[in-house]
Amino acid sequence: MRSAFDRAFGEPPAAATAITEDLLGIRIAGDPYALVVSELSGVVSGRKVVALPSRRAELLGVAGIRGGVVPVYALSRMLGYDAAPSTAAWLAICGSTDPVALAFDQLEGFLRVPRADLHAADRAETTRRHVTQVVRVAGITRRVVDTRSTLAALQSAAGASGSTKDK
Amino acid sequence: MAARSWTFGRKITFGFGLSVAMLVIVGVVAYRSTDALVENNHKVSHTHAVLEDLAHVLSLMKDAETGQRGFLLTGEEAYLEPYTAAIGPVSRTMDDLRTLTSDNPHQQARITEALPFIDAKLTELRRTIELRRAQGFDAALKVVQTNEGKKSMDDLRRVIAAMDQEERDLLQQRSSAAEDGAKAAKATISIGSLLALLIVGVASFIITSSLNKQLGSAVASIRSSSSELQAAATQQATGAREQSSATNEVSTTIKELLSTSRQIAESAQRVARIAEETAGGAREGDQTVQRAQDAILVIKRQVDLVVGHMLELGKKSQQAGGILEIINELAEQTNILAINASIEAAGAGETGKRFAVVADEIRKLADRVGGSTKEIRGLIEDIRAAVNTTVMATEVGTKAVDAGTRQFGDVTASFRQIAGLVGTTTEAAREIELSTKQQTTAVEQVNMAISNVAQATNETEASSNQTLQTATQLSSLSRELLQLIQQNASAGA
Repeated sequence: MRSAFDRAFGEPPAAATAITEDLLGIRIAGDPYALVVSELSGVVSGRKVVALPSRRAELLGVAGIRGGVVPVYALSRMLGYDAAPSTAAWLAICGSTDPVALAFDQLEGFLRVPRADLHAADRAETTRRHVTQVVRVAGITRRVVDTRSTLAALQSAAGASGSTKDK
Repeated sequence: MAARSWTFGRKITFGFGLSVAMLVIVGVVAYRSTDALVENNHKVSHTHAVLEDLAHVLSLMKDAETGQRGFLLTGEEAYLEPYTAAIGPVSRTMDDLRTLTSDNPHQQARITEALPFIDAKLTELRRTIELRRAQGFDAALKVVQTNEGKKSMDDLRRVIAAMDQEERDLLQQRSSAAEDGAKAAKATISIGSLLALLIVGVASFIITSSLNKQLGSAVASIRSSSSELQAAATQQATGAREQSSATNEVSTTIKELLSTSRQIAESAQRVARIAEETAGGAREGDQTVQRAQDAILVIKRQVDLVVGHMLELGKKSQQAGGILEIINELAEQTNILAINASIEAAGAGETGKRFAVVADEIRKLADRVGGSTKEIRGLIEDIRAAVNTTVMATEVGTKAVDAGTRQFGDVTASFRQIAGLVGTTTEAAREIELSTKQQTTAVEQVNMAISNVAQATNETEASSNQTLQTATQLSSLSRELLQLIQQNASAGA
C-alpha cells in the first residue's frame, strides 16, 4: 500500500483522457442516491443539530460548521420522503457564502464515473423531486440529486418567508 | 315278576326240569300201567296155564280111558300105550294145578274134590285092565257096566268144568282189567304227553321269548360293544402305529439330542476356556482402562489449558476489534477529509489540481484502509466466532472428557463386574459341562428306554391288530348270532 501510494506521487499527472464526474454515493430511506461533488462545499458527520421551531417540516435545525451556524434540512423530505434522517446523520454542505446543510442517512463512498454515464432520468425514475439524472455504478442505479434545484426550492421558500437569500 | 330276573341257566334248568318232571310223571304213569298190564298178563298166562293143565288133565284121563277101551276091546297091549303114557303125568299135572292155584282156595278145594275122582277112575281103569288080562273081556265088561268109571269120569268132568269156568271167569275179569289198565295207561300217556307237550311248549315259548329278548339285547349289546371294541382296536392300532412312528422320531431326536449334548459339553469346555481367557482379558482391559483414565485426566488438563488460551484469544481479538474500530473511524474521517479536500481543491481552480491529486490519493488510501478494516473486521469476527465455537466445542469436549472419565470409571467397574461375571460364567460353564455329561448319560438311558418303548409299541401294535381281528370276528359272530335270533324270533312269531 505504501509503494502504491508513493508510486502515485512518482507518476506524472495523468492526462484527462475522459471527462469524469465525482459523485458521493448515499442512501436515503434505504434507496441509493448520488450527490455531485462539484456542487458541494463540504461533507461532515456527527454534528449536533439544534432544532428550531419552524412550520417547515424539512428544516431540522441549525448546526455549527466551520465556525458558522448553518441551517440543516432533511434531504429525504426535500425529495418527498416522510421519514427524517437520524440525528447523527451526514450533512452535505452546499453553498459557500450562505451554506446550507442537507442531512442524509448513510454515506456509501466516493464515486468517480465518466460523465457520459450520467443519463437523464426517465419518467419512471423521476418520481422523486429534484432528480433529473441517474447513473449506474457497480450494478446499482442511483438517482442523482440536483442540489441546485434543491437549493432553489429552499431559496424560493425562504424568499416567500423573507428570511432566505439566493446563492 | 321274579322269573324275569332269572338267569339263562336257571330258566333252561327250569324248562328242562319241567320237561323232565312231565316225562317222569308220564313215565311213572306208563310204568305203573305197564306193570299192571304185565301183572295182568302174568295172571292171564297163569290162568291160561291153569286152563291148559285142566284140559291136559282131562285129555290125559281121556287118553287113559281110550287106551283102556282099546285094550278091553282087543286085548292087545299095544292099545294100552295111551293109558300108560297118561297115568304118570296126571298126578304131576294135578300137582302143578295145586301149585298154580295155591292163591285160589276155591280151586284148591275143587282139586281136592277132583283127586278122588281121578283116583277112582284110574283105579277102575287099572282093575278093568287087570281083569281083561286075567279074566277076559267079560269080567272087565262087568266092571265097566257098573258105571263106576263113568260116574268118576263125569264127576271129574264136572269138577274140571267148574274149575275151567272159574278160570275163564277170572280170565274174563283179568282181560277186562288188562283192557281197562291199557286204556287208562293209553289215556294217561296220551293226556300226560299232550299236557307235557303243552306245558313244555308254553314253557319253551316263554323261555325262548325271554331268552330271545335277553339274548337279543345282549347280542345287540355285544354287537355294539364289538363295534366299539373294533373301533377302539382300530384307533388303538392306528395310535400304536403313530406311537411307533413317534417313538422312532423321538428315538432319532434323542440321538440328535445325545449328539447335541456332547457338542454342548465340548462347547461348555470351550466356553470355560474362553471365559478364563476373557477373565484375563477383562483384567488387562481394567488396567488399560485405568491407563486410559489417567490419559483422559491429562487430556482434560490440556483441554482446560486450551480453553484458557482460547478465552484469552477471544479477549485479545475483542481488543483488536476495538483498535480496528478506531482505525476504521480514522479511515472514515480521513476519507471525509479527503473528500472535503477534493472539494476544496476543486474550488481552488487550476491551482488546486495538484492538491486534488494528493487529496484523491489520500481518499483512495482511506478507502483502501476502510476496505482493509472491513476485511480485518470480518477476519476478527471469524476469529471470534471460531474462538467462541472452539470454546464451546472445548467446553463440550471438557464435558465429554468428564463424561468419558465417568464412563471410564463405569467401564472400569464394568470390567471388574465382567471379570466377576466371567468367573461366575467359568464356574457355570464347568457346572454346565458336568450337568451336560450327566445329561448325556441320562439321555443314553432314555434312549435305551425309548428303544424298549419302541419294542413294546411294536408289540402293542401287533396285539392291537390281533385285538382288531378278534373284534372283527366278534362283530361278525354277534351279527350272525343276531341274525340267528331274529330268524328264530320270526320263525317263532
